[in-house]
Amino acid sequence: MRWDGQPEELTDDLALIEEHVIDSLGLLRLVDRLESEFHIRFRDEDLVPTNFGSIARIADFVAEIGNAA
Amino acid sequence: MRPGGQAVVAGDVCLTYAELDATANRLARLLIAEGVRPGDRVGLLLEKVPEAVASIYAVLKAGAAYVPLDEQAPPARLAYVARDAGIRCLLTSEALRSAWEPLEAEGVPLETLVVADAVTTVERPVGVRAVPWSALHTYAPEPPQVRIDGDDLAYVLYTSGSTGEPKGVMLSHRNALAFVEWAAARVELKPDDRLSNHAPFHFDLSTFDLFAAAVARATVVLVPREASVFPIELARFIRDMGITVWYSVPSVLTLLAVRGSLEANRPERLRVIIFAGEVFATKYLKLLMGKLPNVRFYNFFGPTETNVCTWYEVPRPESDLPDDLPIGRPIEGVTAEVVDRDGNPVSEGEPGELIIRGPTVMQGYLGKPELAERVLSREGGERIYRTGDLVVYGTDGNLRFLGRRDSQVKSRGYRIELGEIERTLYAMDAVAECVVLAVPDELVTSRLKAVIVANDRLSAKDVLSFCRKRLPRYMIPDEIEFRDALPISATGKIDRRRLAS
Repeated sequence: MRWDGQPEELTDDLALIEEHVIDSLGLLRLVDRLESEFHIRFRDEDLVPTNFGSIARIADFVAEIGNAA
Repeated sequence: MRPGGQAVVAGDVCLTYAELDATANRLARLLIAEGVRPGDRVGLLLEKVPEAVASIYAVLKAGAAYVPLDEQAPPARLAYVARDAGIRCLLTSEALRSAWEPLEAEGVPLETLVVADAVTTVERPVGVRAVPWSALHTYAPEPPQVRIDGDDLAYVLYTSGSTGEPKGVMLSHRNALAFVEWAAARVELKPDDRLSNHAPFHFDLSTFDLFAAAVARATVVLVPREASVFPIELARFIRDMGITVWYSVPSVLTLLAVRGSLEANRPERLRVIIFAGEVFATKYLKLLMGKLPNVRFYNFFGPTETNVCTWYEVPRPESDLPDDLPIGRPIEGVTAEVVDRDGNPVSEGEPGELIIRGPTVMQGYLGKPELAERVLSREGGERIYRTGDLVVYGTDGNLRFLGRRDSQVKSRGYRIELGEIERTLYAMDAVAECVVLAVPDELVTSRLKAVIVANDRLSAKDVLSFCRKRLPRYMIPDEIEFRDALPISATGKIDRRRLAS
């Protein structure tokens, strides 16, 4: 992930893709990190904007998977 | 000529060749009316929209050269390029206002902006004339009467310079066509082919996408950046858009292989994948080839200064692929020589510097003749370029890339190619990405530092133990650092400079 702006601007709802905060490689790394930190496994189909479009969505999704496990 | 044939597709929008031609002609006339003269450099700051392709052709038709700018570059860098290239006219959009607005403050003497998504007036800096796209309809759709010579500049691509300032690689129409015509024939492009354009316009891979498609009367499908962030979406994009030929850097292909669910999202029409710009780690290439058994894979190699100079078709079965994939043989019409430090051809099987001679070799660096002189020469009407790439011919007649001249280092008195150590590290399953750096050292000249991104549990001890089984003692990394990520440059390659600093 590349974030050159102010920390306050990286809000929970910031559109990560549109604002170019996350690119394809950044996403892969984030996913690997989340999987190892939270001991979960994302399916390929989970990697979509609905689940990763913003920090809030990522948090919600990780929680969802964690609960389902 | 297939006037009704699709030239450009971007999302739901499609331009036929007739429409593309007419739009480009109108825009060329507009540019000329706004003062663009043959030989001028016109800035291109547009995203993956059909107007961008029309703009490129318009600039060429006006006898000028286009300078594609990276909208993700910081203002200071964009401004440097704009000033260095002498850009006075910029083709851009409202959507990218945040990229071009700071240019004036950075001292760029812009005179004209042509704004692709503007219908009426455009709010613009004082002293700059802003022309909305809607103004096009007042110009005739016939080609302007401009004489274009094959050696005229077609585009200028900026690459990072070892001195710290980017330098503009000047490429002529003939340079472009020499590569494009070879490439179109090599992968047998037909009018029903649909080529992706994934690379940004400032990256020379895009010249294949746009111009090889045109030469073959095929269709180019623009890939917006958002479409390639999520691998599964990219897989579906390739499938749904009926892409037949894909060309990109390896990293996006790795993503597709690892997370794209290609089995569930089969890109049925895909028949060719070309990769370039960086080493494609063999384990990921094998994975991708296994998932796409009907696709032919090609490795294209070459610096911006020569576009693609060598090529290699990856043979199946992929299980037999070596860790170091050859860069292959010179493209047709181009000669490759391997020379020693004195410029003499090396003996068979000896490594040396790759020298390229032929019609794809650049004209020079814009405004930096002294830099060009160091690497460019002429002989018998041909231009010769010293690539600084270290290569060696294998017994199979294929060239192999060993490393950059400047990543050939000395350590403990021995000559070392950092690339060789990296290839060894990549052979470890747990290594997702890695870079080996030479850290200056008073005692041994260079200490070797490996920076690794692991995809599984991995200790320094594991790495060293693995290396010791494969590398001579003086090539074992002295230091190992594990990171979550390696910094990436604007063109998608690992940014070594950031790591070294």
